Amino acid sequence: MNVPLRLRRRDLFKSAAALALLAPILRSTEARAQGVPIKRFVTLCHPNGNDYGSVGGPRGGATGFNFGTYYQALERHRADTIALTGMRLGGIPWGGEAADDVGHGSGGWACLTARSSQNTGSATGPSVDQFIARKLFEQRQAPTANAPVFRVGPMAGTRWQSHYEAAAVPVPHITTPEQAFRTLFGNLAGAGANGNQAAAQAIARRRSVLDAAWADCKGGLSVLPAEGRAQLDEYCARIRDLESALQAPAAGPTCAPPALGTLATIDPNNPANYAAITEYFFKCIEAAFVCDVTRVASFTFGTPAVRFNMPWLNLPTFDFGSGITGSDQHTYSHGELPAQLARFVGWYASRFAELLDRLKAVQADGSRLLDSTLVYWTGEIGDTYPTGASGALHDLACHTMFVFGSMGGLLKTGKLHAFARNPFAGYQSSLAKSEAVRHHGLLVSLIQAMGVTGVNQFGDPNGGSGVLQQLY
Amino acid sequence: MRLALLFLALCSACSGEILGGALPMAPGTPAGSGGGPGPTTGGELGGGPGSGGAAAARPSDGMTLGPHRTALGLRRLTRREYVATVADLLGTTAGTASLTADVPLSHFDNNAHGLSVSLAAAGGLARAAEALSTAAAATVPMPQGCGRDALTPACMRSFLDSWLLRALRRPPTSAEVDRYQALYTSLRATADSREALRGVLEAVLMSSGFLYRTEGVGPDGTLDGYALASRLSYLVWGSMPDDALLSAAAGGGLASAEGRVEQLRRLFRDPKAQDAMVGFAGQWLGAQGVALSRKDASVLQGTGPTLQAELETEFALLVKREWASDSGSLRSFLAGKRTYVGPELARLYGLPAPQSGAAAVSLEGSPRRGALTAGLVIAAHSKESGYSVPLIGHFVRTDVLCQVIPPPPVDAQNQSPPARLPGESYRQTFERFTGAGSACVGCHTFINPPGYAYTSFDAIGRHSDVDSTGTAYDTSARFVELDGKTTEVPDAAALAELIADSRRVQACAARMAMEFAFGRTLHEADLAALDAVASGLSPGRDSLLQLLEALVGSESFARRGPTQ
Repeated sequence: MNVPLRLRRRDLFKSAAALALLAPILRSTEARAQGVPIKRFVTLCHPNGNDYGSVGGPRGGATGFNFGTYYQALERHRADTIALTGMRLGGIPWGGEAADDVGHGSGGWACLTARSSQNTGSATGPSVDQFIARKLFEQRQAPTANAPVFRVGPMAGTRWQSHYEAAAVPVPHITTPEQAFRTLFGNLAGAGANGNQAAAQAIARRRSVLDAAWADCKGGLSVLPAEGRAQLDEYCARIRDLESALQAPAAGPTCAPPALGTLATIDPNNPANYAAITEYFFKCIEAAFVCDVTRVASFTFGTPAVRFNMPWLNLPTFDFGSGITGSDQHTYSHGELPAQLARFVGWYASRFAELLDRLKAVQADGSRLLDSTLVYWTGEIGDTYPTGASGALHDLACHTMFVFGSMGGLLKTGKLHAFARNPFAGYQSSLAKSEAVRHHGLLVSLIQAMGVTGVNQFGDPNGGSGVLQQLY
Repeated sequence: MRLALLFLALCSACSGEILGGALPMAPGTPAGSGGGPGPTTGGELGGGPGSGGAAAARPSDGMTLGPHRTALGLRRLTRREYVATVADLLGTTAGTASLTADVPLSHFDNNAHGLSVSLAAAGGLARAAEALSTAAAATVPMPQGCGRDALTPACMRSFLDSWLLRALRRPPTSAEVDRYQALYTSLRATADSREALRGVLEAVLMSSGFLYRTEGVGPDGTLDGYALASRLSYLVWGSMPDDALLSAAAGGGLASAEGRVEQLRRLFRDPKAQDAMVGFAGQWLGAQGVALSRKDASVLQGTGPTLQAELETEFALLVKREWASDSGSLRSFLAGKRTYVGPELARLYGLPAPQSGAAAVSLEGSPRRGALTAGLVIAAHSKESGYSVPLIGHFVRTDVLCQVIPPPPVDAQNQSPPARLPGESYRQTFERFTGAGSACVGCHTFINPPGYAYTSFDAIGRHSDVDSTGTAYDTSARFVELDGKTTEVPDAAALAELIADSRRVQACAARMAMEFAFGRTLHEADLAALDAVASGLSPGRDSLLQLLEALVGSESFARRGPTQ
């Protein structure tokens, strides 16, 4: 159940706190007033491989495709889908000649950044979600550069994640419903009626406070070594970001943050709670878009290489016989068990189909969020199921990705683009790899479709430039 | 990442140079077999054969340190430090739940290089500052004769002069006082006195002066007194200096080793130090943030809801009473014959149950020894479903002993372990896959033995003598490369005692304490400093306070560190 606040936005400025939260709304109102259409972006991620060879991926003709056994939950969204197989990620954290084509780290860092870690232990550039949010903010087309990342499930390691604001600056994850509510909607509940003059004064006070903090920050730079200066200067820039989001109030539509209820104290570590938390986070994404708290949001199940357990699948503990046991997706991936893997990936697909349902729901003004939203779903590595070999091929050249939404018809949905023939159906692997298409162009297409200007290349320059022409 | 890497590291050629150091070839491994480049000088996985025998000349011999990172000259308060600091400064922690989690770059959350501020983190800081300032504006002590609801400019300046000394942990500059005084005046134009005061408090909480610890140095590279005071208090308390420490800084009392150690002893007596030391030890051994609820239901079967808390209490008491107490020692902490169990944990361990609370129990005759077999530590380095030879083996080598195991080679990811043959134990299958004769033996000679010693423990530290088929676990291990010796041990308890008595673990503890104190990883230029700290310690016998005394009294503690 949602909390029916039904407040006019100009009524929400009771305090400086409310202003801080609602500043993004004000900027977006300004953008709308200038006739700039609102565009939204969502990235979805899941751990480990997502195709598993010829077993369960999308197949068929360009327009008459089906989602395969792994993704059948998405069938009802076929008309809004662009399915891409034979996509290739890049990255070189492992060293060695084959290094750019294998590995959780490589794919985990590259799937959203299109860069390798260069052996730094972190992504070496921003992820596409953060990049778009920042660019739209700088272009004054979005209220904030903030692009929250929701996570359900554990992390495999603190730095091995996919969402980065900049090189070596990972985005903190929102992991509990309480955190999500507080971060996105926390101050709305206490809001009340107030006049524009009071709100303007509150904004002015807040600007003074941030100005003082910024001046202090800049004043401390000169005494530091170069690297320390760079880190502190980064903080100074974040203060300016907060200040830049302050704007004068204006009227706007209503919004309804999802009620927390008993989820306020739910244990995010217990797999039994994953479904409920996922549903709540999806509600938050929907409400955040309706309220225009943010234009960009990301959701990830776990992090790269994590052992994602789904006890509700009632799968037995898989026993490799060598201390490698478990009932999680990762362990099963190594076990060459496509039927069971279909249940893991199918569960992810089912949840993402539900998010798409929400984005396609008709809102109070008659619009659908998906009409102005692009959704990009990627895993961290490609096919992990080479038939007849071991189950541990961490190849990044046979990757399946999805885009949902056409952004007003700009991108042609209802299509499957199969870029590489399947090496696991007897086709030579090296040829398949040469056919595979790096995902840099896909990301450039998404960036441009979101209205970011002046960008024709993203990520590692070795990935090439330009858009992925097949999408149009 | 470590956990995932190791799952993939079933087969690792262990070749090449990693982090500036090379691994030795496993004993008996023929050249060119994939076992590594061969014996190297100084190349114990810390202090082994190449370093010349049983007694290493220096504690750091063979220790391969991390990549060179310069000192930044500043360190942002971690989430943990921020919360403790505002509690001491303002008497409230209102709104600090908004702070985002830190993303540790290495063992410790306070590694300065990992403490960048993302926009999401900045938003959290802003929300926290707003809530804290609102609460504190009503309670923060005002100068005598000054009311918070009618603060005159003179009162505000008096307040700033005194309060900023504590908030910034150093005397404010005149420019800083002027800035906040001007802010107050500006805010007073449209707000009442208390709201203007709130705005000033908020600005200070958002300032870099509060949020960052800037480590000022003199011409000779020595930290100034206030920077030393902060380094000391955040090491021991995880929080800001108190008035006595600031006074010592002002009076030059921290310039000498004796002065610093005297303050260290005073700080260490405070209960805040005990909790901070639990945090340090927990981060070193990976025992922080372990959530039992992530474990498989089959593992948790039969356990009660208090187990998580009892495991955390056990670890905390092991730190406080076996290491941080006057009679404590590293050996007692890591491998002592006493632990602390509540009713639920006693049941899990098969030990006498106390009536209530946590009671000290003897581990004599038990398969356990100290923190190295504590359930929380084992759970941290196990999978959700059960033990993991590579995970716990890697933990022992790299975390406990500061030895270096390189990441697995590319081809390791393309290999799955072989099927278990009829009648074969886990160990036999795993050994067939990674042991002698396999391409993986180079690294797994080091990883597997400690892993095997732990195979009788499950994913939450429950012990059993036999596996699910009724076959006795073989927990014997040939532990190579520890203080230049190879030792056969029958089980994890014996392994823990072996480790706890070693020079290497003492040197590793010293290294970890230095990294925690300095907020950065050590590198080659720090080797002499590490030797200076570790050489005065007795393997296993020193208390945590004695370790910190050696560190705080060292020359390196008073210096910022290399900046280029």
